[in-house]
Amino acid sequence: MKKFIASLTIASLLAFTFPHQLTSANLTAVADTLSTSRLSFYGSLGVGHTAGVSLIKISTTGMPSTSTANLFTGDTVLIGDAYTASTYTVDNIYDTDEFTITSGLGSGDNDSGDLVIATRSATHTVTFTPASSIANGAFRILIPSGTNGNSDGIPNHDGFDYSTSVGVGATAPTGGGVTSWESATATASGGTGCTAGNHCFEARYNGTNNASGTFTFYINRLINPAPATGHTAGSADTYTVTIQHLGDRLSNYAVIDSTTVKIAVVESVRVTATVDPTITFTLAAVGVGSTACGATADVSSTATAVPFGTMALNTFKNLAQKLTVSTNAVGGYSVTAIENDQLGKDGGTTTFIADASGDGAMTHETQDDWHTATQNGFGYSLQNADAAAIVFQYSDTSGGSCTTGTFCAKRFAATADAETAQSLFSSTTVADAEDVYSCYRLSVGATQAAGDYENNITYTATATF
Amino acid sequence: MVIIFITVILKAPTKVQAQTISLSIWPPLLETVIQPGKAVTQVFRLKNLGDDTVIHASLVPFEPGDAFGHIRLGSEPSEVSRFVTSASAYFSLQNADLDLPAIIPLKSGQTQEFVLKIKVPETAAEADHYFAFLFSADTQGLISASGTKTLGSIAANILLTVSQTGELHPTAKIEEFRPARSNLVGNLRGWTLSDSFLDSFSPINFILKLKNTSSVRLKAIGQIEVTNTFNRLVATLPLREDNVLAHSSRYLTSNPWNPLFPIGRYTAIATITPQNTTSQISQTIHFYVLPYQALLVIIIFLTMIIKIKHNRLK
Repeated sequence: MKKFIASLTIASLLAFTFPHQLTSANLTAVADTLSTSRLSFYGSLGVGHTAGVSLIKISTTGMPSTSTANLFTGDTVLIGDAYTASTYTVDNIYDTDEFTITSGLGSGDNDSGDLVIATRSATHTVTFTPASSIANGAFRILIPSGTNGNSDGIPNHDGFDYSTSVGVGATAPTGGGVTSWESATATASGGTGCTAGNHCFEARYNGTNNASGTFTFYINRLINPAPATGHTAGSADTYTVTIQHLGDRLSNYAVIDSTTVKIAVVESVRVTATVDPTITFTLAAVGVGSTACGATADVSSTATAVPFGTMALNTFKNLAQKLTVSTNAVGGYSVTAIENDQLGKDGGTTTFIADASGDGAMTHETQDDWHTATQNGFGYSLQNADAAAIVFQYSDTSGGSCTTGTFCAKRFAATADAETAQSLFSSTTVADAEDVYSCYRLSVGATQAAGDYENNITYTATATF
Repeated sequence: MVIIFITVILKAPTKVQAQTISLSIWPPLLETVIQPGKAVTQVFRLKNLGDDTVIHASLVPFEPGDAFGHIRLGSEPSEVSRFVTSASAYFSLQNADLDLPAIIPLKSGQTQEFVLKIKVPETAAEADHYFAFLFSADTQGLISASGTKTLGSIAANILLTVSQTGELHPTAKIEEFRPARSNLVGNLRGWTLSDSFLDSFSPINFILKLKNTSSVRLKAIGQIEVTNTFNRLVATLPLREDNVLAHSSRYLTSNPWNPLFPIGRYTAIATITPQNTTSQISQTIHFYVLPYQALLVIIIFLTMIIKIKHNRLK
């Protein structure tokens, strides 16, 4: 009996000395995805700024952000001291320590050492699968906070900032087998029930959760950290987020299961590309039977030739070409045309088909209707497909002597007559494949000497200056 | 056998010659200030996007063609005179195999770089010179019987300022500043409605024309500021930084003002500071913005009601 009691006593002592380990487990499939992993910018002004300047030079020492690596065109930056700081918009990144803003620096924001701040707020989407089924428990997310000033809206170099002014909030998971979810709470580091060192986000539930399936917890508008001490541009700063599954109220919401996960914040990569301005000009054929300038093409043109071929007397023959201009030069373009001379017999100058006079008033500068085929000669009209501006069109009912809107035309300016090339169409801004049809018309009379008649027309496209 | 032979002849495709002339040039504009005795070099890149062609490259002086930044070539190149320009003393090509004027075959899809050296003689006077670097595609085409041969040309503009110090002192004045006519005003044919009365429901554009009164080109930098009846700034419209050549005028471009239902008397101030100067020129205008279109509809509506009531009383 004594032996039995002694054995029992030893066994009991051993049991108390080596207690049974609690069955705490890890949540699985845990992730915290940030809507943006960009570091916040927290730097200061360098020396030598005067009011009104738009080129900002930052200090390259003594602050979390010491280069422009994480600033981008269009970012909103706060510049100045605590009392007079103003917001500005980044216009361009000039180099590693200089950037430009879209407006002049205010008179109170130009002191050396004034803060330069650009905050990046992110939504944390925390997903996890519980390890346990717990009745009337809660889930809690702990996100590292900065040591000092961690809820003032200014980025910290050692944790996330809980800005009270931008409405940090949390959204509890849904479903998960529980009877109901209570509204999630968000508490800044050091607040009631939230130990300093982390911001706390908690969602309690009624009923018992499933120990399977994915739960999603949203945390909004925490400000990402600025670069950590000793940060190297391009290298991520990592922070540890803790996800806890808590017991019920009777256990004072004791931690049952817990898992940590790492998140990283880093500078975004600034992708830059320069698009060189160019201008492109194309001359293309128009086929026989196509309609341009209200007339059907009697013969196909090519890009280099307008072959009228054999002419019937006192009969119009119409041909056309398509002119296309594209440019990304901001000032736009202009297209002009000039002929070397009138259509000369066998390329000569003495016997020629005269440039037309239309219905009587047409010149190289003044347009006129041209309906009567017995009004012989060579001329042209234009049809605007989609150019920004055109000098005249075949359908004009006003301008020059045009009234009918059927074939308003001009003759080409001629180098041989010391005339100046005439503008045809243009744009004062960028242009994407703007098309115009140049329509040629020829009519010859009975007295025209037989032979082949030729001339040259030069179209020139230039950018504006 | 004979039938087959004829069929083959009729079906035999004819060779298609030179279907497209298409040239692309970079950069389209070169602006440079250079000291006498000094030289600068710029690469121009010409790409043939059309069929095989022969390129004629030359320098041709130009002058402003209008007040919108378009050019007028000083001497349109003819077959003979194309390469005879007054610029020959300033320009040369650094390409080992090319001289100005240059004639070079360019295959379809091929890009040719022209390395242009601009060297200003020691004795050159301070002045502006404007040239177009002109590239003409002399694509071989077939003309049977009567016809016209068409040539496509493309040009890059060169704005060259010769200056001993590089310190330019352009001067300018505003020639014209007013609101652009609204659509409504344009539509009221026969009625004279001042430009100073604009409609609340139309975007408001401004016409601003600057005259360069100096012998050097300038780049216009500035904006149009609009204040309302209470002298509160309601819009700042930056001007596009366009070049205004020596002794010429140019309409300057700004974005239209699209206010949400403006009404009342407004003031617009155009302020321009030619680049690299501190001299500021400005002009102020006043205009009224009223909901004409809405008022017109209301008046027509009231007139109809009065007329209907009047008819019923009869």
